[in-house]
Amino acid sequence: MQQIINALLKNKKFILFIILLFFSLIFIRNRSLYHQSKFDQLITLITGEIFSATYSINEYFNLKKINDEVLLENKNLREALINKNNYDLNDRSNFIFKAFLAKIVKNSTKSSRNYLIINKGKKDSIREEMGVISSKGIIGIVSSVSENYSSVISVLNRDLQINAKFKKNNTFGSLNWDGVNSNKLRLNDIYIINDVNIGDTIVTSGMSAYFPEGILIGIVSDYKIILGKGYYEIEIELNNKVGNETNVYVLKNKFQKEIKSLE
Amino acid sequence: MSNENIRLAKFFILGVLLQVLVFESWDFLGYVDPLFYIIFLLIYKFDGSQTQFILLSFSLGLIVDLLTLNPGSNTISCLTIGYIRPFLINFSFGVNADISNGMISGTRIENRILFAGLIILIHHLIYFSISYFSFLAYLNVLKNTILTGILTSILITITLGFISKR
Repeated sequence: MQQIINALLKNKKFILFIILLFFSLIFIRNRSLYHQSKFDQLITLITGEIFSATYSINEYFNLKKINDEVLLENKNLREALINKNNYDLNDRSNFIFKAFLAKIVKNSTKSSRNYLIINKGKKDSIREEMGVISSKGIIGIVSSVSENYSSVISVLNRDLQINAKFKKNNTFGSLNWDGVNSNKLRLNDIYIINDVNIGDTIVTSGMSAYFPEGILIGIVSDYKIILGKGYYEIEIELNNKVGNETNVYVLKNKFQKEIKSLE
Repeated sequence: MSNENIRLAKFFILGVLLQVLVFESWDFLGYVDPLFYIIFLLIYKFDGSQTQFILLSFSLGLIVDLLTLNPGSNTISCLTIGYIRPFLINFSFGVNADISNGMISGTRIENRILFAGLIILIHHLIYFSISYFSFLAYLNVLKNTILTGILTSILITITLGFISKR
């Protein structure tokens, strides 16, 4: 202990310098949006590199499971293809949403503001504010992009609000996480005049530029009426487990800029 | 408070005031503003406490940043100078590094020029690197460092000339 104190005293100028430098960096990050975005890019790059290494080891041991997932998804896609006879799937230029494949290299569900990092960045045409989904549901929205990695605000982040609707009658509301259970989200702004039942399917509403309409989010697991407010408080059980996801699709909306300019 | 400390306090305050009120909006050649306030970092006594000097340098940069609405480049550049100054003093003045007012009297002019040049160059390089914060802007960083550095050097040389004569 004495040795540690002696070492600290011996280097007190350096320690003081580092503490003040740290304070200065926080100061500069909070005062300038430009510096904030640069710092975020740098942090995304560093954490991306670190977690990418860990990921590649884990990936090897999970190959079989991933293979099964891919096979299953391929099967579902093929089914969808067969059933959509009236849509020209060969002409991809008509598609409003373009999908980019990515893998999650760092994921967290423990904080109340969760972020995850995917292994695609600017180089792979990923830009900020693109929606991210998996084969089972929604994952989040891209918040910051470096050359090779992107940071994604998870649906399990209290700051994120997503437009969602009931599949059965198109009643829409806004979805967010209360920061407690990583499988449950809350759907707000649904008037009590609407019919709500446990087991109703909730999908994306298509009212934002991030996600197309009809992406499965989850099912109603519980609901109650907020007394005196005229709204339901609806609990949604997510179809996917965000913490277990590995393969995701980043969605690019062809008209995102145009929609944003009108909002 | 000793006379020496009062004199340094005056330089601290005058440096900040001149920087904020005059030089920040000078826009020489359209965009070059000298960073005159760093004169304090040059004339501060060579044998003073370094811990105290690091805190003073940090405060100097922070005050200038707050008053000029700068994000924080002055704070980081002044703080770095505060930390590396003893090495620069030893490098520039050699055996005369222990002369308290070495920047004003008692040392050779070449040593003072070297010391001032190094402080101005390093300070400005850090200042503009932090301001631009991008590898792609290295030409702008170098151009601004050189132009602003020359202007700062001229102003500081004139001011130091006056102090030495008095």
